[in-house]
Amino acid sequence: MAVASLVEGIQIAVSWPVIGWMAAGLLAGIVLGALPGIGSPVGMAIVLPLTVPLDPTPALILLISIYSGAMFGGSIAAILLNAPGTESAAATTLDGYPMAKKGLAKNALAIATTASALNGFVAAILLIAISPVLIEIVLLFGSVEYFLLAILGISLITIVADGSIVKGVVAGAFGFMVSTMGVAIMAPTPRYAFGMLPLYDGLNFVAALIGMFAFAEMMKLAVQTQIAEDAVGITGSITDGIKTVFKYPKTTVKAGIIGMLIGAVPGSGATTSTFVAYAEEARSSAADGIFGEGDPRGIIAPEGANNPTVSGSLVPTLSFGIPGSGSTAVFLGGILMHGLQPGPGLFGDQLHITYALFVSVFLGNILILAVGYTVIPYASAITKLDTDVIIPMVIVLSFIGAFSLRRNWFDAFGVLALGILGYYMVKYNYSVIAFVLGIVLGPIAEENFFRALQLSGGGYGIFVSPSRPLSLSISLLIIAVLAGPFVGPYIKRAVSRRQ
Amino acid sequence: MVNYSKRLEGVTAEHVLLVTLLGLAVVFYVDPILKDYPENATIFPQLMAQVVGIGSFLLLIQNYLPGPIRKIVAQEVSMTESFEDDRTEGVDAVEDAEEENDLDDKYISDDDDEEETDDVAVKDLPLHQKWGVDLNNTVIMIIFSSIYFALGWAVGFLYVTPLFVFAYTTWFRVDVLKGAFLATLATVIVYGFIVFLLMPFDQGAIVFTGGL
Repeated sequence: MAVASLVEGIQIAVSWPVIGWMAAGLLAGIVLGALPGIGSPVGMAIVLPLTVPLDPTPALILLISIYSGAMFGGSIAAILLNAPGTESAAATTLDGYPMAKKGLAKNALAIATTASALNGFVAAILLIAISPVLIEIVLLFGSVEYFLLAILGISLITIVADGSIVKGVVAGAFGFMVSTMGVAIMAPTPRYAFGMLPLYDGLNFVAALIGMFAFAEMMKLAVQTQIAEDAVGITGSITDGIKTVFKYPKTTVKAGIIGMLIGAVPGSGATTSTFVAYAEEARSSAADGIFGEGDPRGIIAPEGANNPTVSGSLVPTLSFGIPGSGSTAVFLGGILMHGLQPGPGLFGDQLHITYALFVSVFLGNILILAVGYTVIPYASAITKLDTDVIIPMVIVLSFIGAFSLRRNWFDAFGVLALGILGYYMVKYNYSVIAFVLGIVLGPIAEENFFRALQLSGGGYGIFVSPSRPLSLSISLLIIAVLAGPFVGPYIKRAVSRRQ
Repeated sequence: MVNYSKRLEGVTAEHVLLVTLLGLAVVFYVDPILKDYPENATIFPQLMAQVVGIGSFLLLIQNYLPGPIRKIVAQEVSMTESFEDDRTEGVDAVEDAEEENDLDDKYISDDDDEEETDDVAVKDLPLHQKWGVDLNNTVIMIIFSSIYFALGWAVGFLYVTPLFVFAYTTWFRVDVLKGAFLATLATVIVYGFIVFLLMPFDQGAIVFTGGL
């Protein structure tokens, strides 16, 4: 079954117009990623409602290509402006910008292109190779486990987000709570509609994604900086940059492994993986490194980790519906909006769609390589766009896109309201991703929660029952994740005292 | 006597956010009881409302909580401590660059026009700042967006969109030709939604209710 689905997936991925959507997504992603303050979540959120007329496969390929392209595009602004286009490119600024300032901007961009595409290419192959194992694992999960996985995902996000756990939990639960507006799944009762007809459908999660990512991001951008001020000239050699990546094979491979593994951990994304890869390289090469002053390994490590993270993050997103970042949360929104279900569906009857996605990621990295080298001499032009030009266009697309989802004015209003809420949540360190995950996964989590209670006759013991070792393990993991940061230091101290 | 004005000075937007969350949690908990929802439809939202309510309440009163509970509520945890130094360095570098490129650097006043150079593409002050109104650009953006949404609903997005885009770009002193081009582009996009996706953006809820 897997081989037949893989062949079908390849046929879909290379067919027209699917491959055209992939190319369009990559190019859009590179441009959006290169614009500081925009990045992949904003671009994907705006494009999401526009994919409604498309079939699920090209729509998802378009979205994942934007994500993949933005991973590379983010490095352009990071290297030329010292302002990362995406959060995940922040680590690239550490050595990318100093290198560009030395007159080696082309080298730095070529290193970023090569490391990002090369490792992304290998990671996509690995993803295809491990998928038969994934299928087996996914099929072990039932309603109880899927509900617990949703809780685990939010728990992981709250601690990966580096803030107060209570704030993260509140954000996630608030997302779940808001998702219950509208007609209930298990009983035909309109909830929290307050007599208003538009509220009978509840709040569309795509509108929430647009509000939280696109609109809130524009609010931040409104006070942000003149982008062109710190730009450096495009000088140096592309060929030397490419050669540099092959001069450090260990760094490249290590970064790829870190990127893929961290990407596969539910709740963590490219921001974490790129910093971990950079820190690991700085640690292991401290003796002969000039990190922070333009060491090429300081670019290879984060850039070599970012695109494998895309492949890695597809594992929890497609298998269990747990995204690791804003971009994968929007991607998950796309999966659900097109009527697909993460988990058994995408690894069962719809396996060919999953394979088509994997193959597109693989092909996309080849295109990144080709496009990347071509755009390097003109890269600085992308970053010179004025923020005041971008903002009104994004606002227009946000409102009309949200309304077009269901012809519901409440969705367009939701963009405005949740955009303002999202802005303040970010400002005060409440995890927006946990909130969004709550809204996106709310209906699935509630349905699985309800089914689990039906199985147990209404008792909560089913979530920790020893007769269900998988659900018990996930429950213990949730407790460990939430209690770990508080209990961990005490355990560490006790262990060190004994030693 | 309690000095209320002094107390109000300590109220931040986060307090407003938490009170809003707490209020919504109460509504989500109480509404199923008042309107007698079926039990199936009640358990999950009420459970989540309890989590939101208790969490927001604890965050709201965190300064008055006893030591250990306060620590759990307020403590910022990090899974990424091992590379925190590198991260901080990186983020600091980015933030420094952002601070350097502060609002004042983004725009110049009309009087300083002669100092503009080709290398540094600085712009004129937005209209509110030129008129001496001390308002954050984000607030202006929200006002513009709210008016755009309200008028779009009342009159129809097709007619309001070019006005919004042109007004916004003019307010923030984008070149007039560029603004006009963007307004046209935005209108074409909205028109595309009407033609290809059959969206009623040419109809308003109050004016032009019949559309084109």
